[in-house]
Amino acid sequence: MSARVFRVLVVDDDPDMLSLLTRMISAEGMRADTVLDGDAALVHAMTSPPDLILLDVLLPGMDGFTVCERLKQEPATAMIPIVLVTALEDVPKNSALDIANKKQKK
Amino acid sequence: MNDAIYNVTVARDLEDLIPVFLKNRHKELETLRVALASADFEQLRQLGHRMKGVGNSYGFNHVSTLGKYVEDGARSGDRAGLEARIAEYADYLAKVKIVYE
Repeated sequence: MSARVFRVLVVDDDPDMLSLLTRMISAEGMRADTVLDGDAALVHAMTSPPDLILLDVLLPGMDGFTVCERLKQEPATAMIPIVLVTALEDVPKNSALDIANKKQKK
Repeated sequence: MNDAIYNVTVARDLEDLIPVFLKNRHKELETLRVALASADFEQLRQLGHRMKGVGNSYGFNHVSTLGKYVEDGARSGDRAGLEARIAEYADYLAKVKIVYE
């Protein structure tokens, strides 16, 4: 029986980042599935839940924070670990994470 | 400019990705020029942000440095500064030398 392959969903709108991350993940013996935006990430995660999600923050349309929030609200995807991959230096004002942080501080 | 920035070391197993990476950087340079000509500071900010993320990831640290300047310059509407950084990016792409290890 073959061993189950660890599956990583990579979400990024930059094809160079997708190529690089896919190469690094494959080199570690894992399988990378790639999507270019948040909507596709939600569909992919719901229909074929991965073991890990690498999620860019600044995406066209729905941003990574919102994608993360939606995935955590769904029982089928809530337990999937998510790593945010970003060149952002600050949490953008009024993003889902900014709002969640403010709620936590109250 | 410090000549050391033109010398980039890249892992041998990424060698086949570099031609596409560089082709995309040249396309990006043209898009930056068009965005500056039309004073599209939002697009300049997005392009700068993308450069910042992708440069370091591939070992091209100066692409990320310039990306940060472009992103910041676009935020403040510094047209002259952006022009200088885009010229610096063109010079960098023309001179960069890659060593695979």
